[in-house]
Amino acid sequence: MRRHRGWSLLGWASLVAGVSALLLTACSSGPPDIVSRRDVPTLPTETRSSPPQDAASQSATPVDRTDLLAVYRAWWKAVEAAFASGDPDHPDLARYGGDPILGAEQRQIRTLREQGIVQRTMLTLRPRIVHQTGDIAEIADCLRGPARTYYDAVTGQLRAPRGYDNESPTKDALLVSAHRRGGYWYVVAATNEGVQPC
Amino acid sequence: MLSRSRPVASALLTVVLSALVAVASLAMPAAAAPGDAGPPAEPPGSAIGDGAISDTGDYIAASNPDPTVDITSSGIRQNACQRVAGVVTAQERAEYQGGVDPRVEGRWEYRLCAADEATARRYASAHPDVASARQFCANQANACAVLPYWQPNNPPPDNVEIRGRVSFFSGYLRFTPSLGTAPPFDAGHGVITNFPTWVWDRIGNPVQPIALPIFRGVTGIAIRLRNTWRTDGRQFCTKLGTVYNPARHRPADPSPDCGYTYRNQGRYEIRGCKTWLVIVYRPPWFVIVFPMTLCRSFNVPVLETQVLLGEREARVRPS
Repeated sequence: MRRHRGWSLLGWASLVAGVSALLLTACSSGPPDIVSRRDVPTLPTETRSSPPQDAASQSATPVDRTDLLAVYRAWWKAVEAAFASGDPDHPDLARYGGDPILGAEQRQIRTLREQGIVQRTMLTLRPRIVHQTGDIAEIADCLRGPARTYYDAVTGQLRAPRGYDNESPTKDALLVSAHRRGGYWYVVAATNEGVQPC
Repeated sequence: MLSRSRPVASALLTVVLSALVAVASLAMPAAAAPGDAGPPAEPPGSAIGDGAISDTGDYIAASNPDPTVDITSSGIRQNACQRVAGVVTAQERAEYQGGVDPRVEGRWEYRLCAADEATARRYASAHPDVASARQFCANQANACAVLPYWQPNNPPPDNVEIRGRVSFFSGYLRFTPSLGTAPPFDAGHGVITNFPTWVWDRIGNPVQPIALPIFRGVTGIAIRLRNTWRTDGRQFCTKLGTVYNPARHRPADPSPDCGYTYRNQGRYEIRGCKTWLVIVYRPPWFVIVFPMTLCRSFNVPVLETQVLLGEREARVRPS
């Protein structure tokens, strides 16, 4: 039996890599489309770093919409859910948010969806109310997220959208304004204008 | 025969696999070179965080919860305040309401603020001392203001105590037009067809203190730049309007600057807009300038009337 000579370790590694890539490509099916949450691999558990009260909630605990911080946290949970499913019309968005932030996040979801990408993340929040009077409030926060949160909506593989890095955790320093209408709070706008870094 | 084809197939396979490895290696992050110890990069923002951010003008405009008031803003004007020479008085230091607590190391200065950087530079250059700058800005038409300011030596931390933090909200209605008309349009009355209607803004202050619940709360002043009035599908005036005074004006005279004559009875909307130049202290150490336009609409009944009364009474009240 003749044995192949001249195949180095690199050659065998290349063969394995190439065959793996071919298999993954063959497993993808259909045109790019948003898949339901159950079709996409779940986040690796080691990236969960949120304190329990900010962890992704799968429970149906009703939110007290007269409580400013409860609504604030519920808004970001709704945003996480909408980005994870690629659904700009997720019902919780309009329950806790209003324009312009509502329309802005919906546009962002559509932008990712056009690239066939969803973002599945779990944000760590540390909100600080910096101003509240009557029906207006402003909250300062640093939204921290783990690395590796962008996925191909079809294959479930890690894939970053244009202009974003999938290998680094994220931080967004924001000032967020909220209004109370009819007794209920709504998150309505956010800015990073002149906001000091986290 | 098979043995002759094997070396060629093997070479082709090697080339293809090498290409795959090359592509895979491009997708992997490059390893840092030894000794490459630059400062750690700031974590980037996320698509969610970036998606939340509004244009600054929209953020400013969104701060108003009153659905009867529309607000637009084109955002903060960068470098719209320039230093002018002068020694800040003890009284002004004691009354200082904005910006950083002067217990932070720094120095007192005066700043001339105008609609934009070019205008501020031009004004400050032409009036480099506080006295001439204040005299110049006292003319409302110049749309500028001179403010005392504590310039910190170093940027203070984000949570530094801010003097004069906004603890109240003065309300946007003071900055929207308040419609006055002759004949009066309010309850029980209406303006009259084919009869000159005078229009004016009942809030005529050219400069007002302002406090806004944005950017951690800002305080300062607002300088009125212009009014606009619109009705019946057209803009008919860009001024405050003259208040009708029966002691000085003849009833049938049209307004000298802001008036309209309706031809048909019905319910009309008069929409008044007022544009301000807002100059406020923004914690922790900025003075910021931005224009802000506030609009309100008023429902105005227009009536036909037989003018059986004297003209003077018709101006005051339709029959």
